[in-house]
Amino acid sequence: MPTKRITTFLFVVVTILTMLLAACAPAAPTQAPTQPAAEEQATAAPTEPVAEAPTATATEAPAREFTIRIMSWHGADSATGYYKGYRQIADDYTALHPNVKFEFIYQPLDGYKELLDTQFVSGSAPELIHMQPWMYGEYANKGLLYNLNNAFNSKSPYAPTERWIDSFAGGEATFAGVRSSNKYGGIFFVPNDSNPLLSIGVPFFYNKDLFAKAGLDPAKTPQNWEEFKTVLKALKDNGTIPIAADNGRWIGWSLGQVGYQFGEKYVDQFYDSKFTSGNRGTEFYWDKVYVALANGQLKDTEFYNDMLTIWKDYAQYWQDGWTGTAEADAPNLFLTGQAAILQVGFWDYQYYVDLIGDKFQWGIFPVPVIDKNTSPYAIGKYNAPSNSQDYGFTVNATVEQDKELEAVVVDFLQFFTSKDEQTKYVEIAKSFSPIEGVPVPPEIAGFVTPTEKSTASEVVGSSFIEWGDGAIWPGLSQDFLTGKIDLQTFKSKVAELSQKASKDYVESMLGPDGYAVQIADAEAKLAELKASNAAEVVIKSQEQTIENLKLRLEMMQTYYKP
Amino acid sequence: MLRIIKTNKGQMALMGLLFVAPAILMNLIFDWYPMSEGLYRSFFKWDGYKSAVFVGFRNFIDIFNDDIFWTSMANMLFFLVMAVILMLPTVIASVALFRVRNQKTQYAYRVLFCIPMVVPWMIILLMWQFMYNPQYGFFNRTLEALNLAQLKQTWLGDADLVKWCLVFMGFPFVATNAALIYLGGLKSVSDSVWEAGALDGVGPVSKFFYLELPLIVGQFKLNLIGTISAAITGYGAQLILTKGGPGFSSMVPGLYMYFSAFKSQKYGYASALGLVLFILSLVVTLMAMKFLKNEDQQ
Repeated sequence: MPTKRITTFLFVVVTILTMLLAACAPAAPTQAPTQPAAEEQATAAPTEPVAEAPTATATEAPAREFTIRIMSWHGADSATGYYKGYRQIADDYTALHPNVKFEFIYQPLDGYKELLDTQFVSGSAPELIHMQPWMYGEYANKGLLYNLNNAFNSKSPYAPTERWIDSFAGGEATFAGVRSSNKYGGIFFVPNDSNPLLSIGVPFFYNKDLFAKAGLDPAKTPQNWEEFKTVLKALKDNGTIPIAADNGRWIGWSLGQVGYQFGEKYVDQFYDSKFTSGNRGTEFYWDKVYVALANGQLKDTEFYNDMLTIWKDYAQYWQDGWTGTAEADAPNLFLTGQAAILQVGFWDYQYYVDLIGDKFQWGIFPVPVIDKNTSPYAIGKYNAPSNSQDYGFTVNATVEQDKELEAVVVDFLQFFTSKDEQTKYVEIAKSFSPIEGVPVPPEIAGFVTPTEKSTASEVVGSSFIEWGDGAIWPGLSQDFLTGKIDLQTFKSKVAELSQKASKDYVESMLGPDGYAVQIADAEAKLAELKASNAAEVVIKSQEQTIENLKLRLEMMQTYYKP
Repeated sequence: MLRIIKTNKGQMALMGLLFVAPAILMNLIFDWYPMSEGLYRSFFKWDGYKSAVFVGFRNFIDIFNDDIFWTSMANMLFFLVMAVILMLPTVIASVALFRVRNQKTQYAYRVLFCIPMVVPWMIILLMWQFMYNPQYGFFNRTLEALNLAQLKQTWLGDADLVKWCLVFMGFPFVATNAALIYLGGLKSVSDSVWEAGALDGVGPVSKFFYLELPLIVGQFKLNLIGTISAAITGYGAQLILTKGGPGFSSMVPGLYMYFSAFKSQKYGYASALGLVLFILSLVVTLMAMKFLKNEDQQ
């Protein structure tokens, strides 16, 4: 074979290999545009002209083919019913719009954020992304999520209310906290699986047989922390593991059980009443805590010693070696009848019901409150209904670049939150709905704390621990709970971490990418809205957003001490 | 074929380059680009998306003032020393297997060596996690069955034991890949060497130290590089089994780098940690190579 032919042959092989490599790249949906520059998103995200707000109905959807990818930690093989519920709604929508298909991407919560991070960085994040309450603020602030503000202010073809937002339980007021959690003052998710007007707890499942074996009355559950300790001690003395703990989420959960009993409206003392009264109490809550942490005002309080001592004392009732027990292993202790109590969220209700079967008699009781008998600083109340939307499905900011796709995605989300679909959904998933008038399935009614007992709100509690460096505070907590470091050392170390992280946040908000630029963008959008004769309600909402952004900036400028 | 050989050197060079071009391209894209990007990012304060602010050597100064980093370095040093010491059982096992003259028996042992290779590392980790469980794990249940309940431990939940537990997971410390490399090395030695040794009356111990071991120094070096690199930068077992705990008892720099990136969104800091690990790994490997070279020359 002549050399020239060999050379040509090799060139062709290399070219084909290169093309194959390109073809092997992750397939993006045909309608998914590339990730826009961060600055573009930052300016585009906060507002959307009302003229472009999707108002598509079932018959108005574009005829082109769409595949919408939905990412969630609930998958087809999950033991819970959530995926089945989502699938049902998606199938119902496809039945109405045969040109719109759905592809579900499942990733367990372990590794969920890591996958999402890489997807966003590589520009391959799906169109709809299920996010936990602690996730969306970060991505929204980075300009990676679509601002649904104007869509919520528009009419939904699937809701009887004037605006889509009014069809949610509690209406617009329940989105105040959501707006305060991001620097755009926007709404970045469509709520699901929660209801802001209900106080939904993460209660304890308990083994009635083990309670009886320890000489306890299985029908009598502890009503406060002292009674709870009596129960835990009786179980331990009987040779039963009182509580199944793990070295992952349990650290935060157990801290929350104790922490949320201290410091109601504690940060308000540092601020003028104009930042603490009315809706602003909740709406400015995050910023107030950030500034107080950054100023070192929450380095120590009169209640920290009690709070941390109770937490450490609590740890003696967790199984030996809990620091080496993975999240997935702790439930085994409960399910095999070795541990008497396991904390379970309503989202896992069906999963545990199926697994327990008739192995033992079981019941549910809420995490007991800590009252004045335990600490003079304790609140002694259950958490009030948050009156704030919690979490849900976010939209990738890139959909904004394809107006037809944007219209389809928003139309689907409005369909998703229609009362009919939600009623069907909660029955399949055994979940709560944020939509007004959707009933709570009787099986999970026990997870709702009675309203008359639920009154504590804006609780600062253990923020000075959890708002610090996520790579370090869980390890420090283990050292403290196992007696490796003392209370004072722990307190000073975690306070230092949260102060540093809060300073970074506050300074970024006072910097060139912070509130000043957001206010300017929001004002420009307001001018656009006025010029396009947008609806009065949308203009008012935009004006309210600007006023709040200005007040938040003023608050930081006034109170932050670098 | 003859015509190809007769073509000029320039054309041959071009052909050679074209042959290696795909490999070089992949190497540049998937190895060098991410590494260069990491190096670049280590000089920034960066949350992973935007707002990357150049901070010079700030990240490195912070690393050297970070208590957790030094704790993780001490833990890593422990794992590194243990990993190097525990290379020995593989060498001994390989030599022992090589000395088995019955081909069928040797084949059976080779198969036994290779079977663990097909079990995913993740499964092995989860099995060990199960065995270490203080309440229902294999070890404590066995101690109970032997009426030795007083010796029961919390294993991975014990700050003093956790590192030893992680090391013990390699039991019986015979690495399949390494063993195959040693066996390959021993088999490539001419039979005349072994025959000469036998004629000189070399005993089994002397044979190990003066013949077999020196003859596989090359293979040992290769495995040593892998072992050092894995011990300095690895963190898989810690991530799955302990999350660096209890407290920071099993935290290693690699895991700290991972947590800094994905739990703290300090990507610049994590990149700097990665660079420190890379340099450390390189220096330790070069030192080990130099030592072995000197030994070789002696």
